[in-house]
Amino acid sequence: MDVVLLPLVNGLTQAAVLFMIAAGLTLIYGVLHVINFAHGSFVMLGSYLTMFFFVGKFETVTGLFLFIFVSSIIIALIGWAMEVFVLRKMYKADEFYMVLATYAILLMIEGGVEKYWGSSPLSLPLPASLNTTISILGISVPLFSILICVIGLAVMFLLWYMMNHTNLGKIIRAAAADQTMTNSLGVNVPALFTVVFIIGIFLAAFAGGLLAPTVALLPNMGVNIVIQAFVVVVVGGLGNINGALIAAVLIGVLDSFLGFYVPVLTGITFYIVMAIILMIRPQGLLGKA
Amino acid sequence: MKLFGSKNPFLLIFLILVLLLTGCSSNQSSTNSEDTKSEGDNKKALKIGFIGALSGAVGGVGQDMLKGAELAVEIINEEGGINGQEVELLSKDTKGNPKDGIQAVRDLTQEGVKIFTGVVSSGVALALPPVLEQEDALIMIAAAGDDAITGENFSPNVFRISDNAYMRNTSAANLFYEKYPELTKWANFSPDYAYGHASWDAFNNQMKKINPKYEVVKESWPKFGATDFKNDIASVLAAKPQAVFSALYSGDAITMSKQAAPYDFFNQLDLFVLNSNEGDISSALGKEMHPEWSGVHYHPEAYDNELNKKFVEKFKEKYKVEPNGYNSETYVSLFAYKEAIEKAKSLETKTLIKTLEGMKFDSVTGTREFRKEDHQAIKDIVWLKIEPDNSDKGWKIADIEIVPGSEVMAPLK
Repeated sequence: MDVVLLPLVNGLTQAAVLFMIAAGLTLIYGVLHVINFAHGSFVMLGSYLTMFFFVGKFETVTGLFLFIFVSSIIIALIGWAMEVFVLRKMYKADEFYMVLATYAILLMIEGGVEKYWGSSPLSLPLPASLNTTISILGISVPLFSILICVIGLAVMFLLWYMMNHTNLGKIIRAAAADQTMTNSLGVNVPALFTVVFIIGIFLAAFAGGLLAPTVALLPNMGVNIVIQAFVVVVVGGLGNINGALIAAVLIGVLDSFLGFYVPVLTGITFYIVMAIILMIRPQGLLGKA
Repeated sequence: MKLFGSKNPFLLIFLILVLLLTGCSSNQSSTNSEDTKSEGDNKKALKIGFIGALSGAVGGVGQDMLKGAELAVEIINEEGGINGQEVELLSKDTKGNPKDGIQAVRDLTQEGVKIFTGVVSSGVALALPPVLEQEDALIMIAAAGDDAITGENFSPNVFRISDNAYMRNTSAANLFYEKYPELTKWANFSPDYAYGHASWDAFNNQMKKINPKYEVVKESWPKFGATDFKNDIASVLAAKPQAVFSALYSGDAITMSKQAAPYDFFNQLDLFVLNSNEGDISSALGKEMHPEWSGVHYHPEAYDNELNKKFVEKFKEKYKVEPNGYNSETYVSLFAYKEAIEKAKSLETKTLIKTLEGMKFDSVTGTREFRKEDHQAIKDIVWLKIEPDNSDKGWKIADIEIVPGSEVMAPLK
């Protein structure tokens, strides 16, 4: 049983974090048509800022989640400034210039973190009460992994509720479908862009905060994970949150099982799955043809 | 159709993936990649180059190595330089990439550098011989551990001041068989690239030779730079080893330790051996540090000699922390150069190579010698027994073992 349950929980944990990052990426792409190169650096910043507030100050379970949330808010505000002062001036330009602009922001964030915290790996200690396992069907499963899965589910539900049962969600979906029409109906599209970007960056920073207690903190730590998030976005269908969810779970779980049973495939499963799915459905699982 | 228009998002995504995989992984360094020059009149200064990863996944290692070199240059200049000539240290970031390593050598030789130290990554070290020979330059590798550097890829222009994978891991097998002969079921948990395989091969082959009851119950090969080790941890535990050997280092070793802790991984083992923890891992983990035997280039408490006392004192004065094995090796390399240049009374590369071959010299770890045939330094291997405790640091060094390098040198081919 442990040879099924453990890879499953590990895969779902990976999927939960990936979904949060990919949902932000795909949401920003769907509405703003911006492929945010700097997304990974916001994940990394979420980890570092959570560590900055948490270590040596209020090292409890409450403190950890409080600081993850506070850090995500602060980083979302940085995202707000980025959208208003940088991206807004470039929407009319070719997307390639947007890629360069977001890449420049990535370099600035990574450089800033390296300058302030150095390039040596750092660590955020997980509170002792979370640094344990719980028994599920007689198998020891890390408690924090379960918590990340639960939080991932909660984020998924909140996003689904927001997109389907709130005015903001309706406007976002409308803007993603037809920006000109949305604008002519009196919706303040620039303000909507800012809100969407803030939500996306908040999700990235929040995922970074959740990751922080489980990995070494390094200035370039966002790179690998954002590459995987890009794969999830493409496989799910560009701009499609539901697709990102299905892709994150599918790829996360497959990668975990293959890594467990065929260790030689660890790390490349993502690309194998992406290649197979895109050969069958070039537009991604739920993308529009 | 526009090349980068919204009609073509996949092309754009592809471009981004390519850039992320090639560009970002070798993070730009801000001021670190700039030359670090000493003050004063540099017209007649003897230029020595430091090349190493100053950014990216192992940037912290390179930064530490640079500190050791900078301190050595400062002390050498305070004491009158080399043959009365002031030393100027110029540094370049290799970002851990062979391509950037080659470029770093080219750039610095353009500025008049013929003598180099540093190099974190074995991949970079293995790429350098052609450019060094072309530029008539010389390097002392001060961290990269692949045996091939002073083995099958031997170059007359490359010396290694630090130990190699064969020495480090053969010494581990000898030491831990002697200390724990009752531990027969071993597992491997090492990164799936050259250094990881070279480390495990040396340990595994030596254990097979000396321990008749030795048995490998599991080999786990996570990717270098992985962010998730949980499946590897679970599969190693499922094999029920008594002891685990690991060649993970830097960020990977920290991530693995953090993800292993909830499984009570380390308490289910009688012994965990990490062949490369220069204090960076213990310091980062702090109160989360697990019990282990760590292999190091150097430890300040392992040696009681005048050179070490001076190094520790000056290092603490300058950087406010104790030195580690990444600091020590570049520091020692600069003094080895000083001794060789003063002996040779020449800066000519061929003469220096001849002088360094077989040269014995004092260092912070006692006497070292460059083996004439392969340019590998014969130096001690230091092993530290680390145990968690209730101090502010979160851990203590419970025991130190020193294995003389002469006992574990790779046989010459």
